[in-house]
Amino acid sequence: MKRVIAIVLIAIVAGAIYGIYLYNKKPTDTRDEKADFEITAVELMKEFTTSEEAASKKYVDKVILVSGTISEIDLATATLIIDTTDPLTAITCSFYKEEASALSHKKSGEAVVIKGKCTGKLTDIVLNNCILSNSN
Amino acid sequence: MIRSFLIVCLMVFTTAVVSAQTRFFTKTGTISFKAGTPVEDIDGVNKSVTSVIDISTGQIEFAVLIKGFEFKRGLMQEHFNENYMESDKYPKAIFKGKIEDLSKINFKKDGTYKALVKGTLEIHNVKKDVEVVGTIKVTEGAISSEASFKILLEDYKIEIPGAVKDKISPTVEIQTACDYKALK
Repeated sequence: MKRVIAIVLIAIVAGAIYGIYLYNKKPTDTRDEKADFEITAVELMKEFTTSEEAASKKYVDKVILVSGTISEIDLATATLIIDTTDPLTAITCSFYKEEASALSHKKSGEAVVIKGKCTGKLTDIVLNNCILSNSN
Repeated sequence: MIRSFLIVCLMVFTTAVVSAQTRFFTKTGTISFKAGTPVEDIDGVNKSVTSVIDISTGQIEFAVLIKGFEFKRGLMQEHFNENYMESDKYPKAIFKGKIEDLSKINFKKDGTYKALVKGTLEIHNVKKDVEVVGTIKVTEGAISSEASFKILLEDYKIEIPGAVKDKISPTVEIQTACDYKALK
């Protein structure tokens, strides 16, 4: 009988600890995640222009490595814009605040590889939680 | 003679082009909201808001991707997307409206102006007419906008299950902040 009570107690405590752990778990961090896709900015835009629905299903919520040319850097908002050769649309990359300092060394026109999580497309395709990829 | 005529033509043309620049936009606006109660703080923020404002007509629009809202806690972000906003089905929230008292805003003069904006807010596939008093700030030709308003979750068919009723507020406070650039 004592043993049963002990087991039940342990289970309750373990459950509670697991619950607290889940509750306090941070959102996933792209820095710790492997990229699901590797693609150029031009190709990525092409897929979204062909079918936004299909491309959203494929890329949204996924970590992507996107390579391309920088068209704009905004340090104040920690945002980098990648050119897609189409002047009306681009890839907006919103960086982690603490990663923004890495952007101060970059210039528009430079080649870049960004790792970030795709959140979908407005006029631009938006990547969130971005960092500069180590490969450059 | 012909040359000076051409120069005048060019000048007139350039002025026309410059003054035609009435549209301003941003891709890095911020929308944040508070949906918490004293029991639990629930704050989401999105820093990749697209907004366009046309200062000749008063037309103003905002668009935001639901998946881009960030929270302190991972589960909160998951529940927000999966249970409440159903962001796979309804990925965007959109506002399209108009500044009603446009004549009160002098876009050529620095200052902070109140702006009554009326329009349609679409969240969770539900469109509703809303009216918000925000501010337009003009600083050395640069334009920024700010607004704070409340919405009712039930207006947008977002249902809160009984078990978390004490944690999620039925009214949500939304704040927007955008710094615009001239559309080239």
